[in-house]
Amino acid sequence: MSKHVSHDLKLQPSRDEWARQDFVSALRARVLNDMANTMKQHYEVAIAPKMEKPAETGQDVHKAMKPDLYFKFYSGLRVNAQEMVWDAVRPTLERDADRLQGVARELGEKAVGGSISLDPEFVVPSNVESIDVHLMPGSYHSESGLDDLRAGALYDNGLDVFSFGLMGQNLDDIGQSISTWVSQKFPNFKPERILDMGCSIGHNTQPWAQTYPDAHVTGMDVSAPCLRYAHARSQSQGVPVHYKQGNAAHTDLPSGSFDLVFSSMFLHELPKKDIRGVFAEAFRLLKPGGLLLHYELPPNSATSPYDGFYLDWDSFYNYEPYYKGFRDMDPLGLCTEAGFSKDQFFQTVVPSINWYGRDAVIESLAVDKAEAGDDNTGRFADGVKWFSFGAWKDTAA
Amino acid sequence: MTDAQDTAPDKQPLPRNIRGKRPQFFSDPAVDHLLATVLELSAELWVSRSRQAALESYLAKTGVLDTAEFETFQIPEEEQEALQAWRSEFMQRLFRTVEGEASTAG
Repeated sequence: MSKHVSHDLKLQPSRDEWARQDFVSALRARVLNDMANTMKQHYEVAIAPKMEKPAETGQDVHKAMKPDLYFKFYSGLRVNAQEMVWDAVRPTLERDADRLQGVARELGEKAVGGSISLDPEFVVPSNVESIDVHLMPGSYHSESGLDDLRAGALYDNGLDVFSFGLMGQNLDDIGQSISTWVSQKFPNFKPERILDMGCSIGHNTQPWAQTYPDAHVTGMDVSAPCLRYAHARSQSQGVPVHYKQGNAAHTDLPSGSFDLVFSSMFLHELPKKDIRGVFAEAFRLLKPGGLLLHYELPPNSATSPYDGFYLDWDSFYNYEPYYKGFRDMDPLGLCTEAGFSKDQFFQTVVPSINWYGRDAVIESLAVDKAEAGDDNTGRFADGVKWFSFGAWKDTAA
Repeated sequence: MTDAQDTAPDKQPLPRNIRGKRPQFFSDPAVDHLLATVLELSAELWVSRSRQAALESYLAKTGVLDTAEFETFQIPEEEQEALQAWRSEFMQRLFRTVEGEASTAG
């Protein structure tokens, strides 16, 4: 709930609104932890033994689960909880929107060193424009009048309700964990220019500017309201980030201008053509010796059929039409197709810094291989780990 | 974005319902709607219970509550009206999925 939104753009929910958010968080925890565990056991005990042949893919599991009553209730509850995430934030936001906009305007004047650059001619791509991703009414790009930042505020506060504390105190656990991992793993790597592709509200962009305070950090996204919010949010927290509206699959940034190109939970929002475009663009933007790094869901090739089914649930029921398509792709292949060398590819699982602590992140440095197929049934089940992969651009490239 | 929107003092309200159809899991769509209603009721039960617990705790702490008098206490009419307005908004939440579907082509 909004308790993790502690910057100047914090909303002011009434006691009842706060309680409603609290309920939705608790409902999600119940469904995503307890019910998810029960459903997996139920599959193993009651569903799998009755299948004609053992499941080979997530689709096989999905097909067997669809008629099952427990699956129906799990899914129905999860969809409702998702809708209630946004519905529990929206009334507070509507009431508070004018004040929020005034706060954002003042924050823009603050001498932090960040900036925002919007393109009035920008055309929002159809993967964002035409569907209400994550069942968020209005999706991420909708705006009504200049300076509208409500979509960003809805996402920040909604993400807080959604993640029931697992994204850290500033909803930046992914960025914090992974930037810490990179700085410890590669102590000689001192990126001067960093790009976060598909940054939305910049919650996982800021940690890069905090880990590398001398770096010039750019956050790019297609959504103007999210970028307005991101800019105000970073200004509020005193973190200089440069937000720029653009499509990561074809930016207008100069070639060889970044040491590090990062994204988090971004690729699975894109059609396959754009995913390939993003990799090609990242290769172009990186300097020789630069690092490409994505935090994402593990690929279907690395998960069991059941876990593949479990993760791909979003693709079918959470307005995430590209989710499964991305998970069916091969991280190594995406990198090499874009021009990265096979021997420069790596993948890993970074423990959540808020969940396990900084020491666990440092201990994980010894492990280079992804453990995506381990007994972790989902993003939020049984601990939190962030699957990441990427590649160094050859110095001779 | 149009020029008219740029200059409009009031923003369009945020939409409550998504474009497109909600996922349906039960063979009778009524069950999916009822599940939403039950969950909204559950949420509201929690909201009320948590508010009441806070209120009782506060009143006990400050020594304000006379429990015997409270049983027969009638709230003023304008407060009653506000309560009814709340109930009306609550009902919109209860039937958000049925009404959302009816108000869109999906």
